Amino acid sequence: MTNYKHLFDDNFGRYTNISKEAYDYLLRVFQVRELKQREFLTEAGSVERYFYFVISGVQAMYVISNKGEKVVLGFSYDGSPSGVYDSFIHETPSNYFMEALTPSKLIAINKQHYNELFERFPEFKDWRINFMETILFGRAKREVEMVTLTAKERFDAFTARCPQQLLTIPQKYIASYLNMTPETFSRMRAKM
Amino acid sequence: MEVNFEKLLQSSNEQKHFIEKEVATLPSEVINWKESKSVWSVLEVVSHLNQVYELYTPNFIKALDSAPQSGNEAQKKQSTILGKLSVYSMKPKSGKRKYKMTTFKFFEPSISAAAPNETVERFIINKDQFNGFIKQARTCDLTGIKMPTALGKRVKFFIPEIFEFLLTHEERHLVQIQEILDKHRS
Repeated sequence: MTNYKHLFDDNFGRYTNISKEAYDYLLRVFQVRELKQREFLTEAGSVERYFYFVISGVQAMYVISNKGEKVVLGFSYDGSPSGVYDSFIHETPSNYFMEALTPSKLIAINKQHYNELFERFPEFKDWRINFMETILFGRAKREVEMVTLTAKERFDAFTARCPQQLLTIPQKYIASYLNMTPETFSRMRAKM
Repeated sequence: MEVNFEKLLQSSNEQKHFIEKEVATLPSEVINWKESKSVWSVLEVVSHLNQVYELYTPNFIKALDSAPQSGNEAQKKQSTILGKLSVYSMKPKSGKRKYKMTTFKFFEPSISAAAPNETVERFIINKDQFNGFIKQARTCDLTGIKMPTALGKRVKFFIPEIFEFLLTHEERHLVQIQEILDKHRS
């Protein structure tokens, strides 16, 4: 028996009753993918072919700046969706890398099956609307935090809401996400 | 300075995407079109790129197999004077090739006009393999490892330098492809 059925319940199941037929479909079209630490889920410059849910592990999404620096934009972790969604939807090359920061296990659905899912089971669209809202409001909130909060306040806001699991990844990734140097980040962490 | 493997990989993916989108879809009369006998067609450029990849592939395999695995994310960038110079002189300046360069005899394209698909497919295979080398190198300790180049047996560059050199070489040829296509349209 698969050990990832809870991902369907925790995501789609919050917005609709998943019928037996829909479960069968989900179990058929989602495939398990495993990644070693530092392996890429998605490479910048190539098209994202899948939408994911994370069974276990932490992944970071980042962009390479013109100066060549990694700028972290977000993370995915146990139970969360993952992948580069804009590239997946538009089938255009991704601007971002998605990298496994820890050994990771995910389930993946391809574009054709993803489209088919909403055609065959229109009740799943409620999940999709909510997913888009969560992304949009989350990005807006982060943008406000970035321009209005001090480094210390950004650190506190992040540690208050992030899953424990994220505090185990290399500090420089979280520091970059919070737009501070690794030194500042580690100083604040020491004072926690 | 550190080696930026992600940037190398992103450039390489963008080049692959250009060939898939802009070249693989061309009809045979366009892909084989030449302005004159002495210049290359688009397909001949792709064939030349294949020859370059295929010459370097065994060298990459050999060099990377000798490199130990490393958990260290930051690798110091090492360079040779000739390597730096080669990349600099190849690099198109603001999307233009300032002057023409001639290739070596053994890199002259050889294709049968009957098999355009095969040439492009071969390119995608070569490119995927090359991208695999970048990803492999990213998790190895490459300190001090040099690799022979096509510039002569004794001319050796560091592995990341060769990645950069080949990508710059290809960038130059993609500009050339764009120029051929522009001319064909006019």
